[in-house]
Amino acid sequence: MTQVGSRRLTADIFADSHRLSTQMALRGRVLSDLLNDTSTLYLELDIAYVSRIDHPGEILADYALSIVRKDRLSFVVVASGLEMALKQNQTMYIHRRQWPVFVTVPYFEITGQIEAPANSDLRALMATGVERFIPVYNATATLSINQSVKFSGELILINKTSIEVLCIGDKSSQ
Amino acid sequence: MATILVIDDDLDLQQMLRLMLQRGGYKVVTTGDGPDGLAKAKALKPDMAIVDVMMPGMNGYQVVRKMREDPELAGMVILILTARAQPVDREAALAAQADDYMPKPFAPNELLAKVSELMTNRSTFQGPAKKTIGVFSLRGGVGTTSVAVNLALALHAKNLLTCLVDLKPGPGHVALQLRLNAKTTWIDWSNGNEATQDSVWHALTKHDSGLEVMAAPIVPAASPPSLDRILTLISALQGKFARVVIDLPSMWGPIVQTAIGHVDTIWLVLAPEVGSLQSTVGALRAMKAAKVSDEKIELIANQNMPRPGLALPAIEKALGHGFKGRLPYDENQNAAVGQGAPLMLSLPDSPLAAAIKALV
Repeated sequence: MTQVGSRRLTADIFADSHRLSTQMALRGRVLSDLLNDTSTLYLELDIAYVSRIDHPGEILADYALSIVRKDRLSFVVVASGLEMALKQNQTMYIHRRQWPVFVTVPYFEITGQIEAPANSDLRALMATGVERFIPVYNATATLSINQSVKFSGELILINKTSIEVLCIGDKSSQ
Repeated sequence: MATILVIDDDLDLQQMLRLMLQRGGYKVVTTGDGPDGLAKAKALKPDMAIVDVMMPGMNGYQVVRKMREDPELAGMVILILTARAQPVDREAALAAQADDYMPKPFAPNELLAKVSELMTNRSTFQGPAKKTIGVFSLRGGVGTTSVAVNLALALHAKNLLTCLVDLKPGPGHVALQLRLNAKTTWIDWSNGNEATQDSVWHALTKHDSGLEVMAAPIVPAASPPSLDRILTLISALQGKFARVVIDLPSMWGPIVQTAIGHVDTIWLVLAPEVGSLQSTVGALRAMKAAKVSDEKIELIANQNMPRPGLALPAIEKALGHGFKGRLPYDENQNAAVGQGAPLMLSLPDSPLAAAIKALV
């Protein structure tokens, strides 16, 4: 069934202590491109709604223009709109498999599916590649100290440099 | 033809909503920001508002709160429609006293079905008519806490944003009956430096059912809280919740006298036995002396023991008061208390749960 929503991509951006909800006009690009663009350390947001992590449903304030340091972000949740967040060839790569994954970043644990080669090599996954943000599909981020606080989405992009623990399960699917 | 006010800063979505709702047979008015939405709502008195959350300047939660505070708008059906689509966002929408919540993106048929459902239920809509119920008995052991817990769960199950307050200075048993590990109690809150609405909100503990609970301490408070703090607490919760259920202490003291002056209804609970009857006579006289309106008082007979006890008609005659409700003996109740699994959740069709549901 056709879904009705905004033409903008809604994303929840998580730094260690705050949640920023934003609606991004991507102007032909996809979110992962913006996050992985090494030509700039910053990501500009047209509008941001700021919440604290301990009360993530409450909006503290909104700001017409914001800038975030990409290297200081923990992860970005895309509840829906995968096509606006990732390039199609990234999601359709046929020689890779999906693996269940468990990741910890400060204050959160994230579960979902990661795409990796069939002979998955965790060290290679973390150390190689120029992309700073790893896509985890059908993912849920759970606040470690209060497991009732969860953020789920078709996609969570995790900043590799924020990852503390990365575990991959043994059941894979093509 | 019912009128729906759409408040959303996304102009494309505004137009899509207009078309969809018009096809559904509604008259539609649109606006792109909160302040104009409030002005249009006051001028046009629509039947329903569909409110976006992420709007600059005044967000959707603020718009909804303003509407609920305004006596002219408080009865309007409000649906929050937002791309903030996480469970915490649904909770925030209901905490702002919206009637319902729908995440974006959405299927047109789903939206129309939701709008239709909300409009159909409008005749029984109780949103603005907030109500605070004090559950009270001067005799301990007659089941006031069990009644309060199951009453609050019954109201919560009716999608009424409900808070259960254990207003005992300690020890209170609401948390025990809900198997709830409350980190903060109302005594902690009242002894804190800030007694604002926000600090009340943060002192609540959420039960797995979604019911918000203000727990009592296990260890009795060393000194009684100030009555101002009790009033602030009740007032703050009344501002946040559609229903507040207060489990009152079994003692005619300052806490009860303060609280009773600010509740809409008092469920005066008695068991059909002589001691309870005598305590109820005392409670009625004390409330009369305190000029508590007789209309506030609703007598609840709780058959908390298997043997029949005093005949209820005889009690009614002795008290000069009819019973609002008669709660039957339920053999499952002791186990429910022991397991921290209230009947309203664990056995919702049991006699006691069914009788309480019938009263709300």
